Amino acid sequence: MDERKLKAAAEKITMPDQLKDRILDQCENSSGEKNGEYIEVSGVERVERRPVRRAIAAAAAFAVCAGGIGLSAHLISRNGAPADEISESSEEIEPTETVTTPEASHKKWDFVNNRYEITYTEKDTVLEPSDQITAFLNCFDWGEEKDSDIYSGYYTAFQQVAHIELRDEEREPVYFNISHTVATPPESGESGIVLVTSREYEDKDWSDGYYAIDLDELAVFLDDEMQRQEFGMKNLWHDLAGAYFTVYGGGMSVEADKMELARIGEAIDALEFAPLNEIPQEAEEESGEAWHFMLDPSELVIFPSGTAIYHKNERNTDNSLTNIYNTYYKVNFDEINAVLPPFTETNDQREALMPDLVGMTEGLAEEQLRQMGLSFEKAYVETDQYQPGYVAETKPTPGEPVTDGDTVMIYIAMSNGSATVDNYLGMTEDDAVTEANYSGLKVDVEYANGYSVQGTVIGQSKAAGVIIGTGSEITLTVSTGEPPLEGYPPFGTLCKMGCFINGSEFSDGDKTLCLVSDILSRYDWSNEETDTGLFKEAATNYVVDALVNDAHRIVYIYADGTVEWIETQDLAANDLKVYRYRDIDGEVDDLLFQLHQALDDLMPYAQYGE
Amino acid sequence: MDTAEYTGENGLIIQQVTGSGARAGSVRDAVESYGDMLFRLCLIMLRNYADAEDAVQESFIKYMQKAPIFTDQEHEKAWLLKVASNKCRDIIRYRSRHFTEPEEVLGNIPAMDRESSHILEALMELPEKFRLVLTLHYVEEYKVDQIAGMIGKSPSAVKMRLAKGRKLLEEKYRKEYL
Repeated sequence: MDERKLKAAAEKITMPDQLKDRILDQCENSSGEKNGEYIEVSGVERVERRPVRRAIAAAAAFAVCAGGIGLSAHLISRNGAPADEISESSEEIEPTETVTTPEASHKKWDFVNNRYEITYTEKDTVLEPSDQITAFLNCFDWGEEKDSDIYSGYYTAFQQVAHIELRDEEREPVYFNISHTVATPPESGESGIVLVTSREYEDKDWSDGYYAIDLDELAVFLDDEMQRQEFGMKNLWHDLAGAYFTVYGGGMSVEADKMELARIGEAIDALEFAPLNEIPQEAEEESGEAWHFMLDPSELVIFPSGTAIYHKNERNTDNSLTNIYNTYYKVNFDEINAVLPPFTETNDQREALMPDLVGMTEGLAEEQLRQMGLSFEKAYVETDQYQPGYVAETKPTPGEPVTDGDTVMIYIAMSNGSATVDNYLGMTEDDAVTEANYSGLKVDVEYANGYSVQGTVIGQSKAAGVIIGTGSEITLTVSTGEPPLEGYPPFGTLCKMGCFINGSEFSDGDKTLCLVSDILSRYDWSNEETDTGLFKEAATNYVVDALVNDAHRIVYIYADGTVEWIETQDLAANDLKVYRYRDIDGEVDDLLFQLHQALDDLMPYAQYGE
Repeated sequence: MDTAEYTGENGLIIQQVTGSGARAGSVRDAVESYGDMLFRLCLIMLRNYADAEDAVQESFIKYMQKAPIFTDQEHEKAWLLKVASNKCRDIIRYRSRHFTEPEEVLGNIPAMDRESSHILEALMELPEKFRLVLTLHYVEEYKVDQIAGMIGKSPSAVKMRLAKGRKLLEEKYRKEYL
């Protein structure tokens, strides 16, 4: 098909005139007043904030401006100010007793004697006495200054947290930038790192200091992306216990009373689920039955697969909702389910009669049977009547009497006719097999040594997206967790060291990185080519470009099935050692596609920011 | 506290505040210049007339409220596309939980002929991620690395999506409409 036809066709779509008018009406009527409001609100906030709070609060102002979210209430709780003084924009984030106050031990910053004035971020110009910024900075354990040779390589992944400008009347300003990165540099353990950049204007001279501080500590102070990722579910479950909400799931609505909700909130709270740093692959496709906790205006959804999504929303003046951010969690659904109220309305019935499980998801049906003390067996049936993964039939049929200890059969629907192969890479074996079964595929599992965690799918015999008949076989390769034999090229070193792949940064032991190592290792590269061309000439159609920090190792993988492994201690010194290998089996398309899938969805959500 | 005294490099703030007042005119220009483009993208992404209207409207409201300073027209255009595609993503996310049926959207467009609507229908049946890059590349004529910057993926990921998306589109079109 000609792409020009696509363009021509799409260009026939034009904006309806009434929409144009509506937008212009709205913009022209509201522009003046919106501006006024913006300025006024900022002014009021500045005046009302207590000075003690301001120093820290203003450092978080970058997040406030960018995200439009309120300041972290933790700031306030830490300073002992009463909760009712939280500014209006932060009302939804409750302080909790789980916050630990960071101890002040460490490198001490002292700007007090400089008698400078300080501004924070470009957008929020706030002048603060310098003792307060000093106090703020000294809340963290900065430890020793880190080796800049190692740490500077992480610069691209930094996000600015605060921009601090120190100045007095006689001198040019000095700037300090505080940034953080989610990636973990070598030797910093579990800490995130914070970069402090200082700049002397007169000398036009930058000097960067690198320190590793505990991101948890910083998160206490900042209500931004990082805090969302670093904070546990505790906050929202507290919301859950207190807010108005309805619960529905399992095909029927459960009317829980306030006491019950509080109990659920506390019980789930006790489970302490940790948020994920990246969106789980399956979350994109997840739909269907789930527990919905309506925390007006936010919402928490827990899918039977164990993906939980917290949709943080804000209600606009016109009553519409704006999605502020989403946080993803991987939860153990069994645990969750155990604390939720039962789906059936009376307890007496379900002990005696087979419940109606038809139309429920597999997970919910299993849980219900477990709660009833029934054992069960599963089988898959082809049907169009129910979505794959849902119960299509049970034996005995609903309403028939069953007794404790009986074994019942549940038949799970799988699709009828053709099936689309999913991307199973990176999934656990169980999840992948279940998913593939839902799609109507027969699964053969083979095990191979791999860098990925034991039980992770590292290969699939049919590429994702391919449409095949149901009942077709697919072979999944599952990692044993044992490293494969080292050979050339030593792909395993990618897994063991932090590196960049196509500009995205990975840290030591990163799941995706291990998967990439595994995928590369599964092809036969033993054919070493003697032709050692310069990498500069060929730097066009690479797919993976990995720069390992201690020694530079750059790996190019070309569409023609060669891989170039370049080692050098010093790029500028041109002491390159270049090894070229060819994929003997010529499965290049397959390789590239699998690599692409492994890399495709690794970008954290933050990078979509506007 | 005199804010203006300390603006220096932060002149942005002042500009933003004063600049916003004169914004209504430029909103009109932006709607005229980019309205069709945004609506097209949103309709292809959302397959729903009312949702597409909402997404476009919200994008322009954001444009007005944020009043970003643009270096040139390309920057402005790319900003709007990015905001609109993010809005679409939000709506799609929201929908994945609220079961909205995709509707027959092309019938509402008077200029649409049979062949064009078939091509677009095929396009709209592709997964979201392919729809976005195909539209940006083939309809709005953005280059691969520009798209990469816009959607926060690497250029090679965009290339792969384009290649795969083109193939899927072709297959779908052949299979269902030829």
